[in-house]
Amino acid sequence: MRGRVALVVPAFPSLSETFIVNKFLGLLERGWDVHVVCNHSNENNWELFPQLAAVPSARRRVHVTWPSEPAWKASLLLPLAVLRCLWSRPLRTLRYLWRGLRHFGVLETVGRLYLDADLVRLSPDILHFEFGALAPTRMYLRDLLHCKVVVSFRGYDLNFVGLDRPNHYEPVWSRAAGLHFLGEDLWRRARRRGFPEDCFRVLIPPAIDTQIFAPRSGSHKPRDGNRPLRILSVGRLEWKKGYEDALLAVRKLLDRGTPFVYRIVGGGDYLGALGFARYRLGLESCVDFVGAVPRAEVLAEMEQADVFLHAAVSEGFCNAVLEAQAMEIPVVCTDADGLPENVATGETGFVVPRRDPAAMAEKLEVLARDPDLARRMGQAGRRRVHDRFRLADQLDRWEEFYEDVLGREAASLARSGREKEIPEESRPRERALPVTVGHGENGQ
Amino acid sequence: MAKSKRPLRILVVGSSWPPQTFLGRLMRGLSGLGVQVRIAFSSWPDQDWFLQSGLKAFKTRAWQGPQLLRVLWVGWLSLVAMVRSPRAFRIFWRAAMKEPDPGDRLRTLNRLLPFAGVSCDVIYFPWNSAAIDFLPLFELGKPVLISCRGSQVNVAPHHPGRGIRAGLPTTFARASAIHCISSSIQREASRFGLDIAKSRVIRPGVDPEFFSPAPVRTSSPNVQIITVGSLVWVKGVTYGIQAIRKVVDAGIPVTFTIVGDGPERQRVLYTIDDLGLNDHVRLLGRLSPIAVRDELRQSDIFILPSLAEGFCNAAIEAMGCSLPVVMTNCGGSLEGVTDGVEGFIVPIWDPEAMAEGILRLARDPALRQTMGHAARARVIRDFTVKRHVQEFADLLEEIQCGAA
Repeated sequence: MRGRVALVVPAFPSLSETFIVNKFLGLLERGWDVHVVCNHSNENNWELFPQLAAVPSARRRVHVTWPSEPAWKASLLLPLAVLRCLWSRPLRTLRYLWRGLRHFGVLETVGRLYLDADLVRLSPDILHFEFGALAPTRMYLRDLLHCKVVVSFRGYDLNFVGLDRPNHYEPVWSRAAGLHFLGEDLWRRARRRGFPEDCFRVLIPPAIDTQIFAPRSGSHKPRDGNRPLRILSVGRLEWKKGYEDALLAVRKLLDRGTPFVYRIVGGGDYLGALGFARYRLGLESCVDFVGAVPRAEVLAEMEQADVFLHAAVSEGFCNAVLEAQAMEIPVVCTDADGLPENVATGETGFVVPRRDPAAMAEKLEVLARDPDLARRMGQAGRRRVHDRFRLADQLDRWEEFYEDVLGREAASLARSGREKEIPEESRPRERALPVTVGHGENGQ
Repeated sequence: MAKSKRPLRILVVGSSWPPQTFLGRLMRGLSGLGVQVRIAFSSWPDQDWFLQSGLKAFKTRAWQGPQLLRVLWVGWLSLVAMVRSPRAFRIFWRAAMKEPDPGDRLRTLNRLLPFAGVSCDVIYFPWNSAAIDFLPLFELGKPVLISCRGSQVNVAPHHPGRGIRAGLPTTFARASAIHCISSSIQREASRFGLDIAKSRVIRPGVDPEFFSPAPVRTSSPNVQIITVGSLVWVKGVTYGIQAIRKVVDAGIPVTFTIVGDGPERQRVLYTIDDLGLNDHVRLLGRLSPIAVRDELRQSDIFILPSLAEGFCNAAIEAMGCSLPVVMTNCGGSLEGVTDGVEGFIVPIWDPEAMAEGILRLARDPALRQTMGHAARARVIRDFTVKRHVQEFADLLEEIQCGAA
């Protein structure tokens, strides 16, 4: 097998994070020794991913960390976890404890070992925090596990986490062996938040499986201009997705005499606000909240749709918009964060200013009036996804990135003095660590 | 209050601790008129607050702690209830047994049993949801008063996933009287089975002695705009921030102060940053009533960008301090402010219109002053806490007489 990679995520498998499942299975197939370490694994969610069931070793490779709450339970399990670690990986565990004691007190070291137990037992070559928010408090793992740590930034982490602390991500950029951003926009945000220009980084956009997200021939009856326009949105119901602006936009569309059916697929806490908006705007007969559904049903929804609407106020990149393009649906989306890199405006859809329902309505109307244009944009969308956002190409780039990270020890040391902290050196690390620990107390 | 021999005793069920400012104000006012007020709490309330206010706490126990203790506690409650009022015990027992899950049965008993044999003349639910949660209390034979205050009538019933819509008609039918905080809420409630004849509109009030203009104001080069409210979606704060962006774009130097905290704090912070307004917006968090008053006194214009309101308590506090108001047409607001007299009413979800209203006031100090004076005069005429409490006491009295 090639290198051992541990992907750290909050929960696995998760419908809104299908990309982790794709990456996990893809790298596994290409011979990497991939493991997933998460805090929760919902048994019901496994049933939603038949592709996981097809790989016998998948279960074995997903590790759920010991529970940290309630406290009494954690304290009962703690000795068990530590003994198990010592039993299966005695030397690695002792090294972890030995190095940990130099940074933390005895209790804290043991407490951290409890939470890191799966990582110690795995001893990966590469530890990959798939979400930036998880990383700043745990960068010490580089030294304690003696591995390469890489961190992904996907949007939420840079847009919302630690905004009131200027150097929140300092531990990440000073210790990570490599950083990953979904796109140019996120990298610009990272620069604004203090990330140094010379970080070793890659920009790997999301990718989707164009085999699965492919329109079935003949499934979609072309619109002849008589039946109502079928508008679709897919995404969690939360304020960031801008659904209120979307509802205001379709209300304007209705006022201008364009009939439509608008279906919103996704679950979430914002349903109350959206139910109210639907009622106040008098849209109860033409807007449906479908709820969260498995992928097969999302595909079925997409096959019926004429336009995909994504009104986000803040958005990392948006896989659903990629999927819609792959399904040959023209997209109307906002210019939030990575979306202008995702959709080619005027070509595969229209990008309009965020928080601007009037602009959204205008573009929806253009597509409603001109079914031919809508069809051409849909086809261009599929070509775009095929050329730029294909899963196989993305896996190539992950492999390249991981190989670079594993092979670039010497280069990294030569690049900057900051990187010259080898584990036995104490001074620079001691200066950096209290910062890390301080962040831990504040939570993420 | 009429001079009855014994003071009227009311039991308030479903208040949070501490009670919301307006609820505390009402309860203390009633107590001042000689009504004996007991408020049920499941957390141990601050005794000082009660000593000062002359109110009494009715203690129940929250459903938490080790399982065994909880079961024992329900056993003890059952014994006490059987002794105090076998009839009430039977009612509550039957209600609890309707729950399919044994855990829920115990939880329901824990919630209901403390009320067996309780002595009071009127049971008062300050929220519709409390009335729905404590439905079996209606069977105790005591008159029940429910308040329709806002979001539970004009927002929650439209939530596709919530059951409140089913519960409203039952409670409306069984209550002796319904208090609505505005005609708008009364209209909305009538869609869900409220019999208008059984309801009474009593609009909230504030103390105009407390919410009064500053004796001296520090002058500032910027026009000071303020809003007060929890950071929840229904308050629409982000639309207010969008309006401020347009005001700034129009070249008016403004400072926007947001008083309040809540689950949408992150959204508010993001919107301020995304619209490049970090130098124009102050986010102060939750403040005490005195601190709120002091902030209002240093402001020029009050805005309320809400999507839905029962009435507009925050606005009348500001109006007491002689602030003109720019407010959305979000339910009860039209009953507090007349468009063009005490301020401007604009459509909801419309930052453009709100910005226009703000600009008219921001560019015209004389108009601000005229409207500010009109606002305070309106509060003194229509929205004093004294009137509010008196009308509420009269309603309670009528309910008691009707029941006797």
